[in-house]
Amino acid sequence: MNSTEAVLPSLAVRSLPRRTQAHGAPPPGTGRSRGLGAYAFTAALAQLAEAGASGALYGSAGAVYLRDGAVVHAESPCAPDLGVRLMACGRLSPDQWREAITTAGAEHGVGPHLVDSGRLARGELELCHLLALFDAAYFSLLPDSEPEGFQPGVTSRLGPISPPVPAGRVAREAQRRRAQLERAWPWDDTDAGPVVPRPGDEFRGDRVRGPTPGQLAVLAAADCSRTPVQIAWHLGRSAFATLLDVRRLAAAGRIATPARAEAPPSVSPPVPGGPHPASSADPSVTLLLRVRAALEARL
Amino acid sequence: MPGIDECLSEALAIPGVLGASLVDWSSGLVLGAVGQEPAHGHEAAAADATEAARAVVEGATFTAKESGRIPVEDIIITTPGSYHLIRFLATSFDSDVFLHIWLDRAIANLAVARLGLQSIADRMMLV
Repeated sequence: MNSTEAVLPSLAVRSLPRRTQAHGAPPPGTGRSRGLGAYAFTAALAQLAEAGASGALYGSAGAVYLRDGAVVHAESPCAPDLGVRLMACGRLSPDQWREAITTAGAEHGVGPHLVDSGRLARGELELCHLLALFDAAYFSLLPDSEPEGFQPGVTSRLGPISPPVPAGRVAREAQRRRAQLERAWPWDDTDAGPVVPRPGDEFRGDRVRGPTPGQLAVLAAADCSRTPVQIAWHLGRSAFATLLDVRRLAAAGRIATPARAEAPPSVSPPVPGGPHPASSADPSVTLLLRVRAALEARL
Repeated sequence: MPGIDECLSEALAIPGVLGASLVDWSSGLVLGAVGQEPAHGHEAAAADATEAARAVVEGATFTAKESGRIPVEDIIITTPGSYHLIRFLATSFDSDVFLHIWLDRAIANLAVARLGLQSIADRMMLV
């Protein structure tokens, strides 16, 4: 796996702000004290989309690329990108990926090059890219993610791959995913820490449903030190899907969870037609930044 | 070497098909959709089909003897007026994606539709 994990530094996400508080007020001079508030990144994206902008919006948890106001690419240090996904499964060797970057990276045409050179089918490239786009956008649009600047005209080195996605659809999907996580397991304390499997006889519920193949892969990769995001990078798998599987495994009692005195808070249904205030179950950017720091520490 | 849109258009050409969609069933996200919307729209259909897919994949009865990442090929649902076909995609990379088509039962041939959808799913991943 080292070959794919070594690709991490090539992520074109700029350095992230150093914040240490997981909850409560941010340090003076940053974030909300500047009056940005929750969903600041989502609001900035909506403005740019409305103006029909083209370029890259950078934020504290990722970047979203627009063309004529529609989303064409997204990347986040939390979400495995196209190259990681294709290399983790062996579809492309690190050499093949490097060759594509060397040949077509400067012209911003890595994606089309992979198809034209016969390395990938167009369908699988589009599919892989679209899944990676929504995965990275989920993290970029986390409620406490803050915009850090827009650079007009910037495009991804991957080049045009999937058809552009309306920005409103990307924002709605991010909101739907947050609600999904909360429905699966309303606590966020399994999101950022090491995943520790529990023995099978401690499963909850009178009728045990089999884990999905995805959940089995997560359990197999859980070595008591990897966090959900690290497992996602290790497997070349959607980081959101991994967070969701980890919460489902927590709900089923298949992984260790912190001891808690209180009963689960009642889960409210998602509010249609607009973002709802950040809840405790939203994975916070600061939490995920700690995960990124851990990833970087291994390089 | 078709892309997502071409694959969905081809699915629409299967006799009796009313609509087709490509869905990420790890999240319920509609990756693409064409044709007539089902009763409550594409997104609701994707959510329902995702629940069905999860129920089958998690059901040990169906998958106990299967190994591999995608232990199920198709889910077929018949109603007095329609057919629903869900075809799981075998991607090289890690993903949970299916093609879903819904058909007018008076016109469609279930066996033909199943083979047609299988062929589209295979060709989507073919270089």
